[in-house]
Amino acid sequence: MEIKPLVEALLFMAEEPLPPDKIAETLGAKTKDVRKALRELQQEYAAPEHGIQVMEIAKGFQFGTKPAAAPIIEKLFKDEKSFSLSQAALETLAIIAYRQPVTKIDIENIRGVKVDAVLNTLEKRRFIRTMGRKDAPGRPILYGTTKEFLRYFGLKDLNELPRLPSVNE
Amino acid sequence: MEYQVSLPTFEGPFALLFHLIEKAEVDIYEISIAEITAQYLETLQMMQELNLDLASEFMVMAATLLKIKSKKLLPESVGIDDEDDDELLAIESQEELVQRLLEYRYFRNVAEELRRYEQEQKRVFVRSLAGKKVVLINPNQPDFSHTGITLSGLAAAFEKVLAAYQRQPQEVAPDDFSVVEQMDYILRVLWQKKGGLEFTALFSPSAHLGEIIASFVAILELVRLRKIVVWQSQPFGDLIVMKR
Repeated sequence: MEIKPLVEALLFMAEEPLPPDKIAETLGAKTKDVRKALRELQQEYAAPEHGIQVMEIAKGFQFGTKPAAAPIIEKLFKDEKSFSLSQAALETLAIIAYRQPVTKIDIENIRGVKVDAVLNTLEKRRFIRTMGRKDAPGRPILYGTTKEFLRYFGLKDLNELPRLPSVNE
Repeated sequence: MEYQVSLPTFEGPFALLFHLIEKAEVDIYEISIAEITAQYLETLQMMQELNLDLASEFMVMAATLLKIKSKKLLPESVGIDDEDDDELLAIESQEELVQRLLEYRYFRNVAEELRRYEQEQKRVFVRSLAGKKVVLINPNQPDFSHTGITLSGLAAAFEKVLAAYQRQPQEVAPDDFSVVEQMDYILRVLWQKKGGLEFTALFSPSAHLGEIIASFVAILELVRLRKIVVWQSQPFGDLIVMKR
């Protein structure tokens, strides 16, 4: 069997993004060939006759439904974990994502409010993690974003974060 | 009689300042510190009258605004006694205030963009093999790396079991479950399942509350005795219980 249908089968089974090198290792194929197969699958499924797509998230690949199908899917299925992040959580995540590794004080200076509770929640949900301590008085904890953060927002990697005009514009 | 006035809620002092600047339709570089301070204080007062729980940060900003304003009124040669400054925001001038507001605005805009990503992602569904949980297998190493089960993780798993119990029609049953019996039972079940079992699978759907609690205590006891391990194959994944 060619590798493309096997790659497709693995993607079909995956409940979380599969990294290409993991697929390659499993198939005993070259990562380069797996990437080629993934690109082809991505293109094929992008066609309008398909209701699912091959998404690249957190450096892995996964099948997902197309947004246009959402209203129909929601008629039949319910996402039990559906929730949205609070404004405070989003602002805090935004700062951490762009400034990581970053300390709590740095975040509080930008937001003008205490962020202990928000950091706690974000850490529990595994959107952020500690990345060691800053070499400064008090050795404050440094925070950074996680793979789960990328997954939640559907980002390939941190370079895909929204690019906005710089602070002074 | 109390009446309610609707006032948007503000995430913090910067958010409130922004709201005021936007309402006044002035350019952020051209704000009048006197005017914005007056409006800020007025809003704070309104919030207090509405019995809103005011975070101390709002007061700190008020003091900071007053400090900047008073500095502007004084000739430059007159120094201000800054000894209490630890309590205030490290903002000494209007320029600094504007800079801080711009920085905050930047991240607020990013947050808005992230909100769009979040909502877009909500419209995309990924496969989940309902019930039949399939986790990634790494043939090279059994993934014990994630033994870092937190108390809250364990509590969440237990709550899930309890919630399932509460959905069942309930009848009164004698309390004839002992922790020791449940320990025996769990070890017997796990003996047959070398690959481990989902935490929830150790509780029968028709179990009575007494049985559920006995089983839970039995699991904790077996972990303590190092007879079994509880681990998680992925963040937020199901807890897996395995014989040591």
